[in-house]
Amino acid sequence: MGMMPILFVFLCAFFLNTGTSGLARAAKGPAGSLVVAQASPPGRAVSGEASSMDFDELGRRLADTNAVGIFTKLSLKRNVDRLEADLRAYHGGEGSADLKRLRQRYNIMVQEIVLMVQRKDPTLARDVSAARGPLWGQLSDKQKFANL
Amino acid sequence: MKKSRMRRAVLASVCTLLVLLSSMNAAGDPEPRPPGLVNDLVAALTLQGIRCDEVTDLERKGEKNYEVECQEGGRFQVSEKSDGGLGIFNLIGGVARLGVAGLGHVLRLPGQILGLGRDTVEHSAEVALGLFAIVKLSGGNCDEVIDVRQQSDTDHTVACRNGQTHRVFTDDDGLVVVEQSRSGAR
Repeated sequence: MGMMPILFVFLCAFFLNTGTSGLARAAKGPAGSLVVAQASPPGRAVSGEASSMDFDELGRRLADTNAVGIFTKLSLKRNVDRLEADLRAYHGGEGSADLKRLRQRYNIMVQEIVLMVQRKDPTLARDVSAARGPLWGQLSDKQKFANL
Repeated sequence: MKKSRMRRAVLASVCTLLVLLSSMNAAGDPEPRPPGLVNDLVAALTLQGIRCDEVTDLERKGEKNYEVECQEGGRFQVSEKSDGGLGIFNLIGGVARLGVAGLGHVLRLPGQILGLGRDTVEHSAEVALGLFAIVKLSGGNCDEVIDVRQQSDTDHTVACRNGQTHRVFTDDDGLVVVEQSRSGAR
C-alpha cells in the first residue's frame, strides 16, 4: 500500500516525460534535425559568392536552409535528378531532347527552387538566380558535365 | 504517524499535479508534427505536378512517411525512401510517381497537361509541369496548363483551362514573380 503512491508518481512522471520529448521533437527542424542555422538575413547577394557557387555549394546550401521542409527538398531533388538524367542522355548521344529544350527546362527548374526559398531565405534565392547562367555553362558543356 | 500522513498527502498532491499537466499536454498535442508539415507535403506533391491545394486528412505512418488525402481527390503516401529519394504512391489509383529516375516520364497524371500536342508531350509536359507548380505554389489559380509562351529564358506566360493567364518571370533582383495577367471564361 505504501508503495502505490510512489509507483503512481513514477508513472505520472513517465507520461509527463513522454509529452516533453514530443514537444522537443516538434521543436526540431522540418528535416528532423536540430535547427542549427538561421535563414540568411534579407539582402542582396554578394556577387563574388554567387558567381563562384558550384553544384556542391548549391546542394549544401539547399540542404542546410530552413526555408523549405524535407519533403519539398526531396521533391526538388527529384526534379533535378530527372533533368540531370536527360542531360546525361543528351551528352551521351541518347534521348530526344535538344539543348534548347533542356535549357528551358533547366531555367524553369531554377525558378522553382528560387520560388521555394525566396520568402524565407532571399539571399539564397538571389544567389541561385545569379548562378543560373554559370551553372548552365557547366551543364551544357559535355566535358565540364562529365567532370561534375 | 502524522509524518507519514503528511508525506502521503504531499505525494498525492504532486501526483495530481503531474496527472493534470500530463493530460493538458496530451489533449493539446497528441501527436506532435513538424512545423509547416502540411505546407511541406503540399509543396512536394505540387512540384511533382499533383494537384493538392488542400489537405483533408493527414496520417503519420512512420519516420518521414505520411498519408495525405487531398481535397481535389487522391490519397498519397509520401515518404523518404531508403535511398534518400522521394516516394509518392497514389493509394487510390496505384503508382502515381515513384522516386525512380525516368519513371516520371512514362507515368503522367491525367488532366493537367492537356492541349500540348502528342508529338511534343515529353518536353512540353516537363515545361508545363514546372510552370504549373510555380503558379500553384505562388497562390495562383490554375486547373490545367493548356498553353505556354516563352518570352525569354526566365519569362513565360502560362494559359490555364479555367481562363486564367499567368506571367512567370524572374525580376531584376533575381526573385521569381508570378503575375495574373488575365482572367475570364473561355
